[in-house]
Amino acid sequence: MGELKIEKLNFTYTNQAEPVHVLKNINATFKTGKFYAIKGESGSGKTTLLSLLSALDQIQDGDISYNDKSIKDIGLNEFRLHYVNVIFQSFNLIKYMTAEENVQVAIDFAKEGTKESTQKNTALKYLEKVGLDESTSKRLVNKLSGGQQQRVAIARALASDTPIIVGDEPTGNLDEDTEEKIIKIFQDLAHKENKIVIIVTHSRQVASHADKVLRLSRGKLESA
Amino acid sequence: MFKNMLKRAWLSVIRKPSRSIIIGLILFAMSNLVLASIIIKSAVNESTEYAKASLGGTVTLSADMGTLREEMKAEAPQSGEKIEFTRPTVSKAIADKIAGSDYVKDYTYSITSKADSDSISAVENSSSSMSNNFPDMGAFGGAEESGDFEISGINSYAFISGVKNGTMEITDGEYFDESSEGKAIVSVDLAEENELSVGDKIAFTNIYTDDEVELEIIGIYDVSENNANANTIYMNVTEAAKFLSSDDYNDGDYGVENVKYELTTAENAEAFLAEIENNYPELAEENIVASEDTSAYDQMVGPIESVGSFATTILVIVLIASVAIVTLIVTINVKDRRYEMGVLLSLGAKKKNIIGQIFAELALVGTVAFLLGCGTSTILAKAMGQGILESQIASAETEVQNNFGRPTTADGMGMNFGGGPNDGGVSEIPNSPLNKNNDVEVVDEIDINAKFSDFVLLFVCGYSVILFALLIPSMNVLRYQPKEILQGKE
Repeated sequence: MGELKIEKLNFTYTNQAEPVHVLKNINATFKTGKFYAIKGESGSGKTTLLSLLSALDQIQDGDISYNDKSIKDIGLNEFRLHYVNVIFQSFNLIKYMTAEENVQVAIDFAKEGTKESTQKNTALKYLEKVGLDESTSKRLVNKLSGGQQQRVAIARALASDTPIIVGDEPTGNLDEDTEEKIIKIFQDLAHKENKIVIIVTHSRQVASHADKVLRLSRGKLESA
Repeated sequence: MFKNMLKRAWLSVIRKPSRSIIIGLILFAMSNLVLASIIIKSAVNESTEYAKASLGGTVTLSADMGTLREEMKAEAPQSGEKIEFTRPTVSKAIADKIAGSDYVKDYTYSITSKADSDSISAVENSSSSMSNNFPDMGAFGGAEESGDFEISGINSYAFISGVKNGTMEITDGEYFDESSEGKAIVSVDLAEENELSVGDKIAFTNIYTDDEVELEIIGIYDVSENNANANTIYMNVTEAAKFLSSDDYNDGDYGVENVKYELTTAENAEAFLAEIENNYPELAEENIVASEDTSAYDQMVGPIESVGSFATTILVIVLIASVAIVTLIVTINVKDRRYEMGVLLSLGAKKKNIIGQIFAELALVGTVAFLLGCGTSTILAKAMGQGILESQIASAETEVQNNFGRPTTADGMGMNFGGGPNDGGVSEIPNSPLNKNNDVEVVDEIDINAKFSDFVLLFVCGYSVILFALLIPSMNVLRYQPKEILQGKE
């Protein structure tokens, strides 16, 4: 059974007047097939932890490994490409593309050599899964509402079909019904597709559906 | 992935039309200037190549004036006495031997001397030889004693530069050539003074040996130049040699001047010069130097070479400006898209794919701009090239007028020491590269037409500038981690 392991992870912001130790000697293990929720106050270092877990930033001290292989050895780019996908709080979509094209981009990178028609069908399938019909999928993302854009971002993360899904407040812009739907998707991804799903959230609802809830406080990650 | 990269590039171009149009217009303007300069340069190169081919090459043997001047200074007496300057001449035997080179197609030389005559009298107040006009310079050609008549030996009448200049013509009789034994032409003034006419025979005296030489007048010439020496008698070299001193005649190996060699091709000039330097070291000892005569070439292609230099300058300036402006535009473009670059990196895109996409976008816009440029730049090149050429020709003509009507020679002195009908000097071979300065037509038109290679060069230059302009700002952004780029911390 695969697992994502954090060992003695430290992170300090040195570009401030005083160095800020955001993460202090963090140890944690995330197992395949589980849905994790990480809670914490604003500024507690949740996004920093997520950036390190998703290889968007370099590890300063300590290590993160997947299936006992350090992501430093795997390579940050390779890790982002084939192991992890992130759902950003601010969506991070490419503005001049349609919803479908945004999802297709991720498929193109993660599954090199896939036929364009297959990419298109896969994109539409995941967009439909998050509640976006074909006509909405054909619209430019900057013409969509915040909630719709969030769903595009989720569909993009799902479409890459990586073993780890990381989300930063992925349901923050969604209404309750859609949030419910998305939580169900995350649960299915973990339980049915054996992925590691780690969601940073303030939402009680998301946390209540997680298999395990962790709290990040004063630089330490503990079980809630 | 490559196909999708191109697709993303295409989407970016068509969905951000204002950005694409601005970049396209800048690239279009630059491509016009770059291509126009390339076309002009290419046309100029062709014209100069043609000029080279049509002129061939000419090598002259002449006195090394610099060394002679130095020697004269060193030998100058303190008392202020005049020192005698004798221009060195080339041994006829050596001149003929050099002409045997495989590089030589044709050659010519001349001799001068003095003569007296009891049967006719010299024209009074006529301009005399150069030595008389500039007595301080001493006598040229070794004729130390004065004779009333100047003897000028030239291969043929047609070789006389005055004839080619249009300042000298035969008014009566005929011309002489190498086979004209015992024949000469005299000036109108001399003929009138002595009531001479074609067919008359005159006895001249060699001033050194007192030998009498009888010459038949076969032609009477007129010279329009005011300072022409009416007492100059022209004949072929063999006849003129009869008026040399015994020492100068040297059993037929007399000294010759204004030695010119026409080469088979201009490209052989350097090899021929090296051959002379290696095989005839005695020339250097006698202060004779061999040099390529480029005056006719300079005169013929001078204006278009100026156009070529102008085009090169424009090309360099435009290329530098293009690199600067395109770099600036691309930097702004990349800065504007760093967020997108961060997103693509977070999705696992390789840096080369991201740079490749932006390059493909710029190349796409550039290709359209360059293609439009291919259509319009020829018109611009024609207008630019012909305009500059006309102004260069006008400026060259003004220079010639300011130089008393003489074309400026390669050394910038505006004088042709060997030429002119009045000094018995250099002659010109008709329709030969040996008569350079006087009958050379200045190239006053360039065939400005774009060639396929010009277009290829534009595309190579254009894409190189785009790639260069893209690499610096892109690498600057992409050296950061995706998180830093997405948070705008780079």
